[in-house]
Amino acid sequence: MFLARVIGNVEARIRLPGFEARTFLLLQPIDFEQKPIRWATIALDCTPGGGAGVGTIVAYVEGREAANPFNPAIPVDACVTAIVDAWEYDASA
Amino acid sequence: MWTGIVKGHVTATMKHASLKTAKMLIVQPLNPVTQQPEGLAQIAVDRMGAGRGQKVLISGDGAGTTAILGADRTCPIRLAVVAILKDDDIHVTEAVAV
Repeated sequence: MFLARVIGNVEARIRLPGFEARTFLLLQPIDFEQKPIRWATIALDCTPGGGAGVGTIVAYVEGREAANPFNPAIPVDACVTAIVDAWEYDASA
Repeated sequence: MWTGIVKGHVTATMKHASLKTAKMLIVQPLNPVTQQPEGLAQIAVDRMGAGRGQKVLISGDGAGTTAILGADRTCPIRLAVVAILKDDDIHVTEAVAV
C-alpha cells in the first residue's frame, strides 16, 4: 500500500454493470513526507461507509488484490483500503 | 519477497475490516546484498510486532496475507511482514553486480 491524497473524482456517466454505485476517486500518490511520487491514479473506495473525500489522505492498494472486496467481481486494479488518521515516519530509522 | 527496514507506522479508524487485526508499518525496501535503500517506502501489515529500525522480510502474496490476517476473501491487502531479521541473518556467498 502507498499513501495518496484524494484530489478529485471521475464522473464517468457511462459505466459497466457493477460500477454503478461506485465513486472513481482521483488519487495523487505521495510518499511519507507528503511529496508526490508518481502520476495521479484512479481507484474505488472499499472502506466501510466509503468516506474518502477530496482532501483526505488514504492508503490504497494496486494490483489483483484491489478487486477482492468487490462481489460480484468487477475489473478493478486499485482501491482505497483506509482513510488515514495519522502516521509516524522516521527517515533516519 | 524483499527485505526492508521499518520506518514508522500508519493509523486509521475507517479501514477495510481485514486491517483490524494487524498494524500497518511503513517499510523502506533495502537491497538484501548491499543493505542500501532502493525504491519507495510502502505500507505492509504486521502481526509479528516488528518495531521501528528493525529489518524485516516482506512477502507480496495477497492470498498468503489474507491468511496471516485471518481475513476472508474480500481482503485487498498484498504486503505482509513474514520475518523479523537480525543483523547477521543475511548470508551472501556471491554478490553479483547488476
